[in-house]
Amino acid sequence: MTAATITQCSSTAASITEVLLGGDLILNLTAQSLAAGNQARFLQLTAADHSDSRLQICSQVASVAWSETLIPLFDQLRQLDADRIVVVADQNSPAGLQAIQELSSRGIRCLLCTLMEDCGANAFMDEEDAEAVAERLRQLGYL
Amino acid sequence: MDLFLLGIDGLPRWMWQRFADSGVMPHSQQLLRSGTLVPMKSSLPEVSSAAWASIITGLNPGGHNVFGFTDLMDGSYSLGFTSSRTFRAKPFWAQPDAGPSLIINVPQTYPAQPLNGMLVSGFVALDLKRAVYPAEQLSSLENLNYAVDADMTVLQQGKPQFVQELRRVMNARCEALHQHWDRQSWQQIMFVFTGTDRLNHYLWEDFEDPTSPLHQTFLDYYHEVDRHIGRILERLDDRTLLAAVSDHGFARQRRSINVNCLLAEAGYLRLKSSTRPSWSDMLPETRAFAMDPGRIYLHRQGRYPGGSVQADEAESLMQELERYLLGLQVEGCPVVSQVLRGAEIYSGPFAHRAPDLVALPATDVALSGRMNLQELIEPTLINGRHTHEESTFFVRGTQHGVIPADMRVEDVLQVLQPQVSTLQKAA
Repeated sequence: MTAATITQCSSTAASITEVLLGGDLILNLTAQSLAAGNQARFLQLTAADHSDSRLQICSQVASVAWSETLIPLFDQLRQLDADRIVVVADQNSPAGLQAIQELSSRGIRCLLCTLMEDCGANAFMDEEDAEAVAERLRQLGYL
Repeated sequence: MDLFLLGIDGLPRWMWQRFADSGVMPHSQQLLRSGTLVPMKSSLPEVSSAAWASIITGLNPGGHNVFGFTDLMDGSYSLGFTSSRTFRAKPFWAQPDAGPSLIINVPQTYPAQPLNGMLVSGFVALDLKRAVYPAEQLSSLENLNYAVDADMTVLQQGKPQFVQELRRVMNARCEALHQHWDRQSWQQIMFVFTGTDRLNHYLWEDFEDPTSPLHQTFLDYYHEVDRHIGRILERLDDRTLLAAVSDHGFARQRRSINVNCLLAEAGYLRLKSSTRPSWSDMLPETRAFAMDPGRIYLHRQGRYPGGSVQADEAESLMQELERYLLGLQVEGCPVVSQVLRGAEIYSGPFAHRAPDLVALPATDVALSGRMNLQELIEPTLINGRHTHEESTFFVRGTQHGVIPADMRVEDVLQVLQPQVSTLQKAA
């Protein structure tokens, strides 16, 4: 892996595959289960105690709790077979940015993906209003 | 009062200047001499819901989450209609330091959300009861025969009757403004004229044709808007920062082209057979689809239940679509003038919900994202369309923030707020 500019994006746990490319390794710093698809590869800790652990690739959905003791383990990541590390973090959590800065300083290509809440039915007009709204929008050529 | 923000939906900057200079809008002539009028760029796409959301939050759609009047609910093909609940950013009147605010007829604020002050929602408000906060102000609006919107069915009786209906609604709104303005001391007021947008949609051809019997009707409506502007100006002291904005420009529309028809013809969009096709009828083979007016989404795996476009295919597909859209002609005329990348124009926490591409229409064309593949050229009475260029930004006086050379709707608050803060400190 070679160094590159830090980039950021956002997605949801359900739609994370839209940002993943072949060759990505996912460092999931959230407690959420990501629908990353069958081909996705995650990083996981070999032991809960960071001092006696290392990061390894696994093919099941995994997550890693952020702690500064993780930082020295990033040194191993350059040897792993990956094009890019995708760091997935919760919105408003400083962990993702900290991780991405550490990875970047080691010349590891990475992407910070912030997980947002789904924008579901409760973000839109009430269902009983839908037909009336649709009619208004039709009158102005939107529908 | 620190700020009066006047909205005039769909008023192009050049038209306001022309009407001010020619005497159609004499109060505006006086007003425009007292400050700076510049063209402003609308949101992308150039649709009122997204543009007003940008004006009142200071963010582009990637920051406030309103990309149009419609959207698909996350992880589904269910069509949702955006509302005040779609906002994921606070309007300026909901900021922690905002004082009492009177907000009337701002689009995309329905249903009314609580605030320090009073709010009456604008388009697409349906029911006045749910459009008013606080609820105890409802009766005063009912007494004025306040209507949340003009009755568009009046168009069937004829354009003169329609303009009369627009006048009726505007007059009631203005009465409501003055009645509630008198009620208490406000730190900020925002009031939006929206009849101007409806007039421009349906009578643009009459405006452009001086021989049309309705040409003068068009001008008279703007004269009436100006009379209301004059009444507002009479009440404002020099201490109040006064700004006026429109959400997009306007131009002639000769044909409305359905982008989904074009995508289907080229094989990018595949629907299963349905009497009333919708986005939920899209087959997994679909590679791209459109939503109003020129938002184009790749049918991405992960984002949609049946999505088939993988992340590493996206770039080549977007390039292919750009070439296709820019090369299109209908009846010998180009359809699309420009195709922009969502990743380049949106920023913020909701940029992942953005369209992959935004197509801007060619001259005389309006783009539609209906999922009705029967008519490539849609029959419509509408003859005026929105433009991305030439919306309006005006600010009175010289004590305001720097106006960017490339002023955009999301810059409005940034230009006004330094002066509003100064006024607040002085008070």
